[in-house]
Amino acid sequence: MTDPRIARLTTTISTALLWPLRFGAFFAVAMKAAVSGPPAKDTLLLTVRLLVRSLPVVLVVTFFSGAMLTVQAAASMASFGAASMSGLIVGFGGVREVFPLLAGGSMAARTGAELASQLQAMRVTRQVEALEMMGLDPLRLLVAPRLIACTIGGPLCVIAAMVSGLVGAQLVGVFQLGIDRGAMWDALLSTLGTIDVMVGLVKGVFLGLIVGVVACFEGFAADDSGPASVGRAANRAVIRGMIFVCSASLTLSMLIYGQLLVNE
Amino acid sequence: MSAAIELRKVTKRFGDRVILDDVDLVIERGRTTVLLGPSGTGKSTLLRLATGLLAPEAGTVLSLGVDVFAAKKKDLLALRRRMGMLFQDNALFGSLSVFDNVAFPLRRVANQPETEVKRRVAELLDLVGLPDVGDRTPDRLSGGQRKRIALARAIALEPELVMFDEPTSGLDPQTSASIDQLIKSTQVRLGITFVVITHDVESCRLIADDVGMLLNGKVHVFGPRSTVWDSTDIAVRAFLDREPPSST
Repeated sequence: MTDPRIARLTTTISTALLWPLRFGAFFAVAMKAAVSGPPAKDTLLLTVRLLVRSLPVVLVVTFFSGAMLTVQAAASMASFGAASMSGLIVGFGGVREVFPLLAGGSMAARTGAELASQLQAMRVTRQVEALEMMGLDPLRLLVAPRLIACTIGGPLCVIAAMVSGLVGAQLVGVFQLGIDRGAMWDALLSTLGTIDVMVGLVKGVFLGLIVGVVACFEGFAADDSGPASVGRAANRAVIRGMIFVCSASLTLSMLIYGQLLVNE
Repeated sequence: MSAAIELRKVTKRFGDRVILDDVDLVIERGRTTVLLGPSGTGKSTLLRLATGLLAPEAGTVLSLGVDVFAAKKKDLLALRRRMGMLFQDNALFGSLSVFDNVAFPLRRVANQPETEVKRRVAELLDLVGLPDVGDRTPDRLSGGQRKRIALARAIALEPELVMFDEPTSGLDPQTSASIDQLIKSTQVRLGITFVVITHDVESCRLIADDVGMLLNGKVHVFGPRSTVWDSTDIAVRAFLDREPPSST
């Protein structure tokens, strides 16, 4: 008789090893469902819902992050007598990296958890089976609209994050650190170009899609069952979503900005 | 005409555990067939095999004449549209009203115009005895009412075969009796095939035309209700007479 602890450990290890394969297979069928044309009304409603739920979190998180970056940048540059130039660092560092990353992380925490728990709850209560029994494709009906909503919502959240972060930086720079209003704003924007906004939009599309795919996989296709699995699905969606968002953000930065540096 | 459901040499395992072992079974059309048996004997598994929600390790499953596991995805979806299913937990969509739940297959599957949807939903709610609950959400209904709404949704597309997974599970005796009556009257009215799985002996007695009993992964007995009810088989008698299992 096998020791139940060893059996559990074996199951855990084999599940972890198989995860990339299962996730890859899910990604392929989910993308196929997304391009096959999900119900337009559901997709629109889910996009609005995603923005209503995620935007407040994104705005608050990036506002404070912009403010904190400014405080740290000013403290570091004060030793060179250049505290007023702290906006430069916040401008390119925040807009290019930190704000999009935090927008993706906030989406993973808010929307990712919600989507995963919603879908897992539908599986547990057999609502997904009910759809299958009606001869409907749950991938097209449930997963595809959520993926598209995340892919549309991602860039909008990133743009909102950039604006909110810059506003946070500006307010702290002006009212807390006493930097001239015009000088602070000029410093914040001086290193930024249209390309940074475009890159932010591209990042938003990818990060939104990643949050959506991970959340839908954890809620719809993960090997888990029972009422407690709803909480576990949400938990996994947030943790794995965050990890994927961070690694994708770095990869995109290396691909885009790394290429720009080479071209210079 | 082909049988409603036919299993040929079907085996289903979960891990090392054999749930159905080389099972042969034919369920005729136009009748109410009840599959009885203790918990864990593969009753629900059998329904899921018939709908293609689960695949067997061996054997052939024919539902409404279609080989479920040889069918292409498109044909399987088309087959499921000829079936209805009432789940043990009802599987109603919690975010939708009762009206929208019943209307769901009419709108999404049959693409019926809204005027027709309204007429049909009103007809179905009337049929299950709940004409005035359309604007409520499922969580504001009692267990028996939810079961009725699930039945209304299951028969909305006028299926040829409706399957019931433990329809009286978790209901009080009076509500169970009313659900039994509803199943019986609906089957008589629509004249379609009902397959019910349950371990509720009284419910089986009230609604069944044919009875099958699953035991140890096999169909232990199958036939008209009167024949099964009069059976002298020890296992059948023990189950029908609610004798506790002997412990060794």
